[in-house]
Parts: sequence; C-alpha cells; structure tokens
Amino acid sequence: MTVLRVDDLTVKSSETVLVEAAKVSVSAGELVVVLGPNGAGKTSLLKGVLGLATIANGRVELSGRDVSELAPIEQARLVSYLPQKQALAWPNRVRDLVALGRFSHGAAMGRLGEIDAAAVEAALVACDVSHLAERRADTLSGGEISRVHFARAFAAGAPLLVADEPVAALDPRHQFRVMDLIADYVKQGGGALVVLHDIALAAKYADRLIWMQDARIVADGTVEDTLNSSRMADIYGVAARIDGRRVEVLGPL
Amino acid sequence: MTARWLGLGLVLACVFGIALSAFIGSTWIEPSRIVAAIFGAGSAGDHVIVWQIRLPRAFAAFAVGAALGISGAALQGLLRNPLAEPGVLGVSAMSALGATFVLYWGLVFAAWVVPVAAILGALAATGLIALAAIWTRSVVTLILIGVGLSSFAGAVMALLMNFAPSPFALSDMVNWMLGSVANRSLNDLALSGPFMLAGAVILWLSRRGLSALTLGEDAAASLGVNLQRQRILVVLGAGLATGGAVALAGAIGFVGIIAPHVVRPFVRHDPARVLVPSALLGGLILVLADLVIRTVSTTTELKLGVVAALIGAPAFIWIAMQRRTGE
Repeated sequence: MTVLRVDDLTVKSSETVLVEAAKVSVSAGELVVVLGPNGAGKTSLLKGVLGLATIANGRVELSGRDVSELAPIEQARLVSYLPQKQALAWPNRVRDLVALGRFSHGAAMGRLGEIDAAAVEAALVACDVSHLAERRADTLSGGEISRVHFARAFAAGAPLLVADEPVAALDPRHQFRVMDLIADYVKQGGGALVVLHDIALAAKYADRLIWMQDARIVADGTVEDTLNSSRMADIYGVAARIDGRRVEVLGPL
Repeated sequence: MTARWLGLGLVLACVFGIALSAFIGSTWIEPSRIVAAIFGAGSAGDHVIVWQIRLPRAFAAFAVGAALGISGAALQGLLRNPLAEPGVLGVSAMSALGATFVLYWGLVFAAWVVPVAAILGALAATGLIALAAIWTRSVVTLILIGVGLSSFAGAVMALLMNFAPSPFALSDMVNWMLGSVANRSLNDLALSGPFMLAGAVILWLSRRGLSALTLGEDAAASLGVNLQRQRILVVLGAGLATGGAVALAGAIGFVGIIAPHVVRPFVRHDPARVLVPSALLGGLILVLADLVIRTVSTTTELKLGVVAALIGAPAFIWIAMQRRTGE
C-alpha cells in the first residue's frame, strides 16, 4: 500500500523555488532516505508533504487521500512528523510529551482514554524510555530526548513517519539506536521518509534513496542502483569509495 | 491529583478572601452585623457598605486578577515563553490608552464606550504581537516589541496629560494609569464582566492547542493544530479579557506573569491545565492585595496597580533570570 504519493510538487517561498516538480512515493514497509547538500530543498520537500510550506503546484496524497481535502486533525492521523529543531517550551514530563502523540485522537496531556494510554505505554517501551516516564524533559540527555520525540511520533500510530535529520547532534551509538527505531517501525508496516546527512547511515538503513540538488530530485532508486562515486562527486563534490552499502568519504574534490 | 487539590484549595481561598473583604474596611463594623447585611438583613447603612462598597470592590479585584491571570497563561502558551504577559507585551498599556483616549476627547456618550475602547486598544496590541510572532521567531525580539508598544502608549498618554484640559481630567487619567478597584460598583462590573468572561471562555476553548505548542509550531501543526485558528482565539480571548480588566480597573501589571508561574509546577507544566488555576490565583492575589491596601492606613489610598507592580516587577526579573535557554 502506498502511504505517500507526491506528484509534480512545487514549493515556493515568495518567488524562490525551493522544490520543483518533485515526484515521490513511499510504500508501507519502506524506509526512504532523502539525501542532498545543504539548501538542496530536503526540508522544504518534507514541509510541502506536511502542508507546512506553501504548495505552489502539485498534489500530495496520504494513504490515498488528497491532503488538500483533509482537515488538519485527519491529516495528523495519517502522518507523524519529527522536525529538525525540537526545543521544548516547558519542562514537561516524558509521559505527557509522548501523550501529545495521541492529540489527533482527541487525547490531552492529562486525559488519556484506554486506547491512548495503551499506545503511549507501548511507545515508551518500544523506544526504551519507560524508565524515564516521570522525568522532566529538561533533565534528559540529547540521546534520551530524541528517543522521547520518537515515542511521541510512534504513539500516534500513523502509517507514515516523516523525520528531518533525526540523528543530528547524536553520538554514533545513539545514531544507530534511533535508526534502529525507525527500521523497527518500518518492519511493523509503517512507511518512513527521512532526511539524513550521514551517507553511510543512509546506505546501511535505506530501502530507497532520493537524491536532491538545486530544488530538484535528480535520482530515486535503491542503494545499489543510485549510490556510486560519480553521484557523490556530482551532488556533494566529494571523492568517495563505495563498496555495495559501505561508503567511505575520502575528501573534497 | 495535585492539580485537583490545587484547584479546590484556590476556590476555597478565593471565596474566603472575598468574604473577608466584606468584614474589613476603613470603619470597623461588628462581624454579626456584616453577616446580617450579606444575607439582606440588618440596617440599610450596613447593607450599603457591604453590597455597594466592600463586596463590589472585592468582586472587581477578583475578576480583574482572573482575567489577567488567564490572559497571561494563554499568551505564555501561545508564544512559548513564561515572560509573556499583558503588561509586559504592552497590551494593558494600549488598552489603557484606548480608554484614556475616549475619556480625553469626551467621546463617552454611553457607558459601554470605555470598555469597548479599552478592548479595541488591547486587541490592537495582541494582534500586533501575534503578527510579530509570525514574523520573528525570537522571543527576545517579541518582548522588546512589547516594551516598545508599552513605551509608545505611555508616551501618548503623557502627551494627553500634558494637554489635559483641567486638573480634574489630569487626576482622572493618572488614577487610570495607576490602576485601582476603589469605588467600583456592581454596575461597573456588569459592564466589563461579560467581556472578561467571554475572553476567558475563548481562551479556555483554545487550551488543547496550547498544550501541543509545547513541541513548537511546526510539530504542533503536524499534530493537527490549526495554527491560524489558535492564534486568532488567543489574540481575541486575551484582548477581550485584558481590555475588560483595564476598563474596570486601569492598568495593573505582572499578575499575569506571577500566577501562571506559581501554578505551573502543580499541573505538570501543561499549558492547558495552567489556565483555570492561573485565573483563580490571579484573582486571589488581587483580592488579597486590595485587602492589604484597605487595611494599611495612609492619608491617600495606595493604588492597587502600584502595589501589584512593586511585588510583580522583582518577580518578573527573578523569573527572567531563571531562564537557562538563551533563544
């Protein structure tokens, strides 16, 4: 089943074209990674998908439904989003933050129905943060807080996860833990669209890679088909040694 | 659980504070006579003192404090900052300017003109702040815009005072700026009360979105919050509540910052559940402050707004210094 289909999507900010005529699809059980240099339009692509940026042209479908016809709350049940910067306004308890994942199902921080409470509990366990449930968020480490955000996204039970650089500023061990969480979610039938800067991590986990440059998608395919040293040179301007899913970046060209 | 006890405790304290207000005043009256007057018995003189002087004043203090408390809590939720407050953001000052303006030009052809002018001033300020919040992500910038707005309103009011037609008009305006609930009647309350109540209800309806905003605007939108609607509700609600409060009592600062700050830990920092207790605590603070003012004997009566600022401004500085994130 296709959880996301994007056709001919153009995103503009005043007159600047941020994404041009993008075509993307994500199926259930598929982890798709978006790659590209800074300013290529990766975040704008995600924001276009989520309706957070102005869509100048094109069509976005979530689980077969046109987003322009969906109320915000209906859309929220079909996709959960992990933005790049996630500064919290208040030092809430971990359990309450994860409970916000059930917002689109009518739950609130202090008011969880039976199904909501079960979903929150399951997400806390799945992301290995149940021992932190009563901790204040401002006392957590970077790795812990990013797992809390994942738990929040998973608790929603949406068929699509959109994540913008979820492993930025994490140490290698926590990067793997977070990517394993996404891989588990995908294994259980979810679809994921993830922006990454770490090519090696992308090559290890992705089912498919989408390469962006200057607001356009320039390649879309499996790791084996699209990851090679000439593409690394074209897109990132670096020399790289590629061996299957193993990547070694040698230096700038 | 703690939240429930907090709510109950605050309600009891408010009822106690307002009841106490009936017993305390410039003249000592036997408690038994006060009780009789409250329930409609007793002498006509006692009845006037209780129902036309002491209780209306306590009700007004409570209503104003509650309106400012809930406005502060909601603005803080929307702007994701504990320093946001009608006074700090210039909403109270703009509202007072609106009211002073119609008083000055003699435009008060009906009693409702003053609250409406105060509310329009407040709405102009909240609307401007909300627009600025979309334009800038920096909370520091936003607070500075509020400070600018406050100074502007203060300057225009100073200008009006400068050209005040008579010493009486001047003293009227000064009293307005200082903020007080002295000599307010039940009629005054009936005039502004509906606006404050409507504002509070609108803010209460916006509570779920405020919870979601703890994650940031983009994440809140992705959770299903309609950001446009959320902003409009808070701007409208805070404008109505603050405008109504200013129409009744003039500009009283800092209540909207202290009440939510005290309440927040008891409701697990949930921006939604902070609203109602903030209103109750805001009301309680002003009822008690007004009680103190009435008990302390000075030749000229202390103004409620002055006392609130004397306590509130240091508290504001203390809360600001506690913030660790720079943003």
